[in-house]
Amino acid sequence: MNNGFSYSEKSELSTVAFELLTFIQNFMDDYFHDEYEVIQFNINFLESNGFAYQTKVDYMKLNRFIATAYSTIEFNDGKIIDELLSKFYKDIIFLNHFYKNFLEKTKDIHSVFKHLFLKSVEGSLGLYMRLSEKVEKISDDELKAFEEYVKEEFHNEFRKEFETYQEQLCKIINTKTYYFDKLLWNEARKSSAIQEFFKKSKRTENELNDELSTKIFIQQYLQTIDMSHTKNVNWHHYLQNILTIMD
Amino acid sequence: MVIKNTHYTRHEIERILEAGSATKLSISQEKLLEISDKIYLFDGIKKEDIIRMTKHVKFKRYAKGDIIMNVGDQTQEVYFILYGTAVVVVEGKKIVATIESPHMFGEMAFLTKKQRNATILAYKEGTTIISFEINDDKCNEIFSYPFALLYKNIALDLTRKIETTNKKPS
Repeated sequence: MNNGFSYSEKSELSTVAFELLTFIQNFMDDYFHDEYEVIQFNINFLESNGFAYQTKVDYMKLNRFIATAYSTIEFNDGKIIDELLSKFYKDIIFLNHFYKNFLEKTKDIHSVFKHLFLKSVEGSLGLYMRLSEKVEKISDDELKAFEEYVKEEFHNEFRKEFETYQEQLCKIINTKTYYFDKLLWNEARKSSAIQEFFKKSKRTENELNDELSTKIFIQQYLQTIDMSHTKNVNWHHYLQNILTIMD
Repeated sequence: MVIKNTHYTRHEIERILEAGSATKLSISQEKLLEISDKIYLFDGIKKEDIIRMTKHVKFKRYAKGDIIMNVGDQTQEVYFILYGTAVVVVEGKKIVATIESPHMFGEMAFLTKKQRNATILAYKEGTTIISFEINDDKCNEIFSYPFALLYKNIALDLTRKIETTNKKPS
């Protein structure tokens, strides 16, 4: 990598690059400490208890329908929402908030680099002094080039970390939401009040007794959409496809 | 940020897992999954996908001479003989082929959507057949891979049939 900043000796460059990566990695470990903890806890929970990861349906996109299902069921027969369902729902809400925070804290890499990473190493000059064994004066141009080099390395590492954490968080949230959805409807089907509510509401023409699931709310939403005038064609098309593969 | 890791008891975990796998299959669907490795159409396709891509799975025993499928029918069922023998009849009573267990027939109808061109009768008492339809309405950009495998399996079977025909002395 050469941004105008170069070391005369190759071996010196690789040592500096390695040490720089260590600095960056230590920063990342601190910055993503919470994500690491949450992921480790949940992966351990899912894998050690025999859960199967769910990836077919992106439940994170269906949150609003799951929330509607939960509140409708709770409203019609509050007894269904027992301690487990209530706890499980809070767990999913927490994970979704956590994921939103994760997206928020990772959306401006440059700001993280400038205001957090560089600050933590006392600026680019401080970092240069830590990495360079020779205490030499560095010109402004050299320092600028050095900062560009560090920035590029930082961005690369940050993106890699982001992708890894994002993939794992999505997998965890999708899997937990899938099981939550199943548990919610499994309990709701046993309730005569819920059965009655959906029969009376005649929300869809499907055989409701056999089809009680979150799909009802997606179908209901889609029925209100005029596909020839909607601006969200892709989203609505996606929902129609989802209906065909949701259990 | 306070990390809130939710803990579940063993009993709660069991309830969640049970609900997650509670999609109840009919007896016919269970039977179909049991024999799916014998059905070339499903080579490489996961069992959960087989359930999603099939519909109207039926499991039926026939008496000798019962009609399984009639010439001119507009049905698109695929048949798999679990036990017994069926015969292919054309022009009224002319038997042109026999199909033994464990073989299938009728699988091209869902592709061509054409009328059946032969009648098939049960030849042995108690001939047992499992039939199903391929639910190609479900084939979309999200759920397309199992269908790609299905079409590949059909293409491979057609290739094998053409090769066999070509090898026969004229």
